[in-house]
Amino acid sequence: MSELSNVAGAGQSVPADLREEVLSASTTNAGGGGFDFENHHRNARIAAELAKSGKEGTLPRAKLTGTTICGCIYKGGVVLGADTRATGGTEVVDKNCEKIHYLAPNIYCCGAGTAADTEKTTEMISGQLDLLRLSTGTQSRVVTACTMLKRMLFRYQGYVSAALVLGGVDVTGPHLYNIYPHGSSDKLPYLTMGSGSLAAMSVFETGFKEDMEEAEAVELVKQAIMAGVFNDLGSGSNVDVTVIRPGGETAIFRGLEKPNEVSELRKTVERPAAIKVPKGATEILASKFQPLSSLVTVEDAPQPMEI
Amino acid sequence: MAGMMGKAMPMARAPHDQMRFGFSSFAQDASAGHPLEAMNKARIPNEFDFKMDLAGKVYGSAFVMRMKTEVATLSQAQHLPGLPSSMLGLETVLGRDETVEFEDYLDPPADRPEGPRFRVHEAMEIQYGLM
Repeated sequence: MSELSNVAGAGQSVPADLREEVLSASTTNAGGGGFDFENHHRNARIAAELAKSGKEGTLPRAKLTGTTICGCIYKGGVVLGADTRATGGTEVVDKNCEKIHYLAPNIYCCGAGTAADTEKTTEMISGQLDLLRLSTGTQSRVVTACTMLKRMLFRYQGYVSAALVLGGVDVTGPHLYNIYPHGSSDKLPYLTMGSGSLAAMSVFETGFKEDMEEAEAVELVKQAIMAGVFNDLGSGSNVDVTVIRPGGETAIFRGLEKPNEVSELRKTVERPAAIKVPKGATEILASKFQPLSSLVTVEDAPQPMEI
Repeated sequence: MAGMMGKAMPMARAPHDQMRFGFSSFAQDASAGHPLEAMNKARIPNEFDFKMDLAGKVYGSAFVMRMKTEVATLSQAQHLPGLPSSMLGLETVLGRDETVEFEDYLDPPADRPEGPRFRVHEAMEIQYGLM
């Protein structure tokens, strides 16, 4: 920055605050990294200018997100479910994304909201839990993961847009938490999140029973996600399910149900010949083969000197 | 922003570089930034105070005094002014050596393009009154 030239310049007086900073020298690491708020004033100014010229609200807005995620507790275990559509505003940007994230061997977490935020948040907490397991030498507890996630999300006041369904089985049994982007949380036997949460919740409200068997619970979660897939435009494609069983071992069913699988249908469509170019359709005019050995000499590797 | 550093009154020390930093306004520099920015700055001392409050209630005030002394001591221990310091001792006492947060990998001071505000030689010259 330009201040350096002031200091280096011979005979120039040193600004008082820089002198103070040098003498105290305690702020070297205080201004650490993190998010950059540099553009805050600029954005405020642009918004004010637009408002002045009567073009309020023409600033680009964050893209809309949509998801259906849910979870339910069964006899001693937890089932988590998610759809696989990723939207960017009104477009589908990924038809088969993963929304059930790994946190610990016995804890998984579904994420709704900004895909990058849910991914990074769960990844960071997963790392944190790993470090904690290394230092304590015990299995991670779900409540620990929940507290870590809440604290982190609360710290960023909802600007980290991650709405999570956290589920896992630990020594105290199965647990299921909802964590909202601002850092609040619920603990309930069945939960839904995302834009398709209402559709999924209607299925749970109808079909949930205490102490279900695993197969029954998986079927209920599948139906709940399907309700989101078919009735919510922000959700779609396949159903992913992760089961965390009573011992803490997990079973991941990626693409458990594919109600929108169209590849078979696509194959039956007769396409025009222009886009079906067979192999070797481009004519070869000339070809020449020259082995590499004719261009280079291969020698033995030099022997290391005896010591 | 070239014109404003720290909490002092805004003062133009060098011509403002509009090409790099855009238009400047003292009113803007003196006004509050993003609410999250202020919260983040105060977070580490606030968290420590909160922890010390809890610890004081559980273990008594002697523990708190000891911890605060340790933190004060380790906050001082530095290299010569102008040389970066890892503050490993302080991080260990605050428990920040076992966490990986946004602050640890997004825009760390060492990766910034603008370079240090002063170097060790200039800093020593200021300290010994040569400048």
